Amino acid sequence: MNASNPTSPTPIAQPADPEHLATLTREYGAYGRERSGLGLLLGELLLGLQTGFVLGLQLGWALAHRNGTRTWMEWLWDGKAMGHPAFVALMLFPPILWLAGKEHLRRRYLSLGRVRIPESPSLRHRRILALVLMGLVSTVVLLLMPMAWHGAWNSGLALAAAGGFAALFPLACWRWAAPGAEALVGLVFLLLVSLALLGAQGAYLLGLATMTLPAAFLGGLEGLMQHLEFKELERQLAAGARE
Amino acid sequence: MADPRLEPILTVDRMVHEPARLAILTVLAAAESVEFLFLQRITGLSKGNLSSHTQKLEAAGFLETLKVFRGRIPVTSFQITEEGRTALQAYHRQLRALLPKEGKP
Repeated sequence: MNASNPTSPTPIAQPADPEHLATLTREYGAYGRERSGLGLLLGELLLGLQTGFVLGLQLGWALAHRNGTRTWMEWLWDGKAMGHPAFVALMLFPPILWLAGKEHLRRRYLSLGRVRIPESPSLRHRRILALVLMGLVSTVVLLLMPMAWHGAWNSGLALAAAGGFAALFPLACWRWAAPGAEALVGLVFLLLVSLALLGAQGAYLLGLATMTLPAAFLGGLEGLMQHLEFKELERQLAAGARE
Repeated sequence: MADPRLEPILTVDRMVHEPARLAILTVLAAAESVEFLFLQRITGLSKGNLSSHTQKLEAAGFLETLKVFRGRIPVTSFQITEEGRTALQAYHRQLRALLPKEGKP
């Protein structure tokens, strides 16, 4: 991501194709708004890992029940460990790490100077749609909290974490996540973390986790492609935008 | 007295026509605001040269300079004004009108 020294550029004799300059500017500026490259890859990777973890716990719990054996997995899902602070921290850590990591990466992408591009109407609509969807999920999670409390699957800490996460995470995504694939990462994180903290088990969580893994793989590929496109863009900028 | 056919060429806005300033305005027109560092990188101008051209463009009312502090580091950004955008569009129109029509030398 490091370009050659910006203090010794080659003076231009005449401007490159103006449309080319404008295109380069818009493409570079997109990395501060709608594209995140490695930030998306990081999100998909963390989402995949967390999904795998939750899926593993679910399968372990199901196997223990089928075999009639009491294993540590069963102990985990019988409510002894789900409300444990370590479990809560393990659930909250990946999405927070993602947002912090992608902000750090965004700054690295814009190391050649920040460019603010105008937000297109379609981009704004997608951002609003993502916020509405996340708001709906948050509302459902908050409505489910009393039931989860009576279910006694977990602790007050886990429920408080689920409620706080459901209330705050959509706002954090509105501020930091780009519409499209990133918004989807945020939405799935919200579902997965909230359901796990509320003590959800069985088909709902299993279904979500199973669908998430291939989607995370595809999203990760998209993030990688965006990063490679940025490298090419950086190469062109290093060449002084001359063709 | 100058040939009237030359008038479109002679009346081209020289503030915009200069290559470095044309590049600066083109980049600024594609964004809301652009930092000095990026403008330097994409135009390939030296710091002094870029400063000189942006000052001229600012004096002409074609761009605005924004200075903020990011932490303790001063950061300079530029944004094109409506006047600058209009001048750039007018320049493009003039230039297109000067180009020979398709199939004619």
